[in-house]
Amino acid sequence: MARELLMELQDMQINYRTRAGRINAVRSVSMDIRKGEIIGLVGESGCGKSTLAMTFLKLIMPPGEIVGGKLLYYGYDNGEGPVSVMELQGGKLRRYRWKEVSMIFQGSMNSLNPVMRVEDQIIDVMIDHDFPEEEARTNVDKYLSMAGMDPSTKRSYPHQLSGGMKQRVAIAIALTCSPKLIIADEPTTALDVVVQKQIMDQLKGLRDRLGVSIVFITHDIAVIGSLADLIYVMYAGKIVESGPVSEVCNRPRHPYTAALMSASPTLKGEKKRLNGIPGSPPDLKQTIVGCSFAPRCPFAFERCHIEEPQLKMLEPGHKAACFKLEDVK
Amino acid sequence: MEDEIIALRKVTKDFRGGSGLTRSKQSLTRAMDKVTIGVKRGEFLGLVGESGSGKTTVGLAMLKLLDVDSGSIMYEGRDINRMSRRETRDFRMKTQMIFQDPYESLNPSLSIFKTVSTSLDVFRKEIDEDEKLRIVSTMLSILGLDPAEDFLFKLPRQLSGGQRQRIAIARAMILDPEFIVADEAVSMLDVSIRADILNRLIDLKNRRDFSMLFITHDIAVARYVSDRIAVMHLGQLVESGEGDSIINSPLHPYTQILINAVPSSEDGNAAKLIPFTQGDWEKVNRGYPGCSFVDRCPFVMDKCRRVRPELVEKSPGHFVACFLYE
Repeated sequence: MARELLMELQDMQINYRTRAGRINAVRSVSMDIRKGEIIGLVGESGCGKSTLAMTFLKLIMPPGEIVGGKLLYYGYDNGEGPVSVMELQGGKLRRYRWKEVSMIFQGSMNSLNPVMRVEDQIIDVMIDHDFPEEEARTNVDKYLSMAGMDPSTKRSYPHQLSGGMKQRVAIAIALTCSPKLIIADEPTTALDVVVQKQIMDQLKGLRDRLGVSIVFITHDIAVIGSLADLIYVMYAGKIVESGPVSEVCNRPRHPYTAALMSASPTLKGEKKRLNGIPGSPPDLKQTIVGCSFAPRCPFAFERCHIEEPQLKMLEPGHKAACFKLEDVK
Repeated sequence: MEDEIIALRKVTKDFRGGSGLTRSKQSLTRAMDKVTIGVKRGEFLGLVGESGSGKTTVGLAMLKLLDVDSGSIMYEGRDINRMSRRETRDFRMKTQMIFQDPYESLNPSLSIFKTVSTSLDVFRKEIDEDEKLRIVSTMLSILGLDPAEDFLFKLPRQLSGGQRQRIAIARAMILDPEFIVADEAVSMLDVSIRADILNRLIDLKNRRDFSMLFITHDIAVARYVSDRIAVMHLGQLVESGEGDSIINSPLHPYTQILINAVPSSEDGNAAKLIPFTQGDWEKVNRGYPGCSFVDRCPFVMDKCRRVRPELVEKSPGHFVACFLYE
């Protein structure tokens, strides 16, 4: 069943201007986010996934610069059609952030204010978004429990909480204005597996109960296999494969996705030798000719070094950008 | 046991800390609570557990980088806290550590060559510069920094995280140590680089004979590199055994929960071994008479709160500290 479209990213291109040159961090990325959907965005360090995350909240600041593409938001039910996020300004932008789309930042434990109590940080966000203070105060417990925290911890300062609890506070803050979309940038990376599992179950529960959409960004494809509906695999600023989680994880089509899958040790099955991916990702300051993965790809042939493959639909909803897949057909 | 290169026997270590200027506010953290653990010669022992379980403390104690409060630590049959200066020097030469964060563990002002060769300067004074260069280059190539000439005279800041960690490993390996502690050595790396570094460590082990304590919070990584796995929880060793035996038939409820929590990309979650404890997983309690796991254990019994379960051998080589198995 097709869910209703919430956000549409078209051909987004983002550069960073640095003294050493222009870094093409996001090179033409398109993505549809539907209501109540959990999207996993996977890629290695430096592939542009955090830059992409910032885009959803219009948080790209100099030296970052959006040089092309559109971001359309369909969540306002006012019959006026989609809103271009890039054109939002002032109060409209302030209300868009958090009331429509909120974010759980990478290293959220460090994004909390160390000298404010947990409850004050939650109230602060709500007052800033035009909730009366009384209402904000009465809702603190609700949001903390939604994030799986004991409301009695609201009087604590961040340093009194463990990493997992701070992460939950960050989730509670992301929920305060009932957003329709939550961007979670590596929300469990610094946490233990048990706490990680609890947080992921929490996020899944929020989606099931509130119908909120989530973009979950991670470097570890194994983490989102059990959580996401759709997976987007990003490499060197581009999406190289996307599709339903069962398709992408069980039948990865792009050599990079396959390599990522076989680079993670598993607990089940036979102990097989892992395959690392030789080499390192390309320098995004250089213009990339051909497929960005070709220098590391075991299947690369001549064409891969000359021409850039485009995303091709392989099965309904499953796309990959690789010449090898075209030849098979 | 005689085939153990290093062994902790009932080692306890407390850290005093906490906020407050007055003594009454100081807190006591028992990082190791009568821990008995040994690494066999030629073995990779994986030590897993959550943050704060005392894994790093065990590693530091094994390398005599930390004074313990009680218990003994034997290296090749000698108590490391009763070694003469000369024996200590010898011990330092034969043991090494790889730290977690390659951004902090390398001196930013030393070239890669200097970083890796410093211990040769200290312990192998007879080696001349040319030979040193050759030894260092060979080690860099073994670890995948090829050609080594491209790296020798660079500074750490010119390298990526994965390359830095390879340098940290080269530095630890350069003296051909007998025993290495690797503390979360790959947890900061991308999966593709992590796989390559793990493979190189395994290959190195097959080539040069050494033993390793491999500390990690990731039980899947522990399974991949280790011969045996030991599980710690809040300062106590709760289970140890052959890797496959721990993964396929975990006994301690904590080990079961740990294994259960590992995300899997395979469709559908694995059959739940035991219910995931609700309640406050992070509320911890330590340093009291019973089992460290009572606050979280779904099977907790009265006895668990009063008496500490001892490690018992449930099947050959598989030890567990839990009253469920008495």
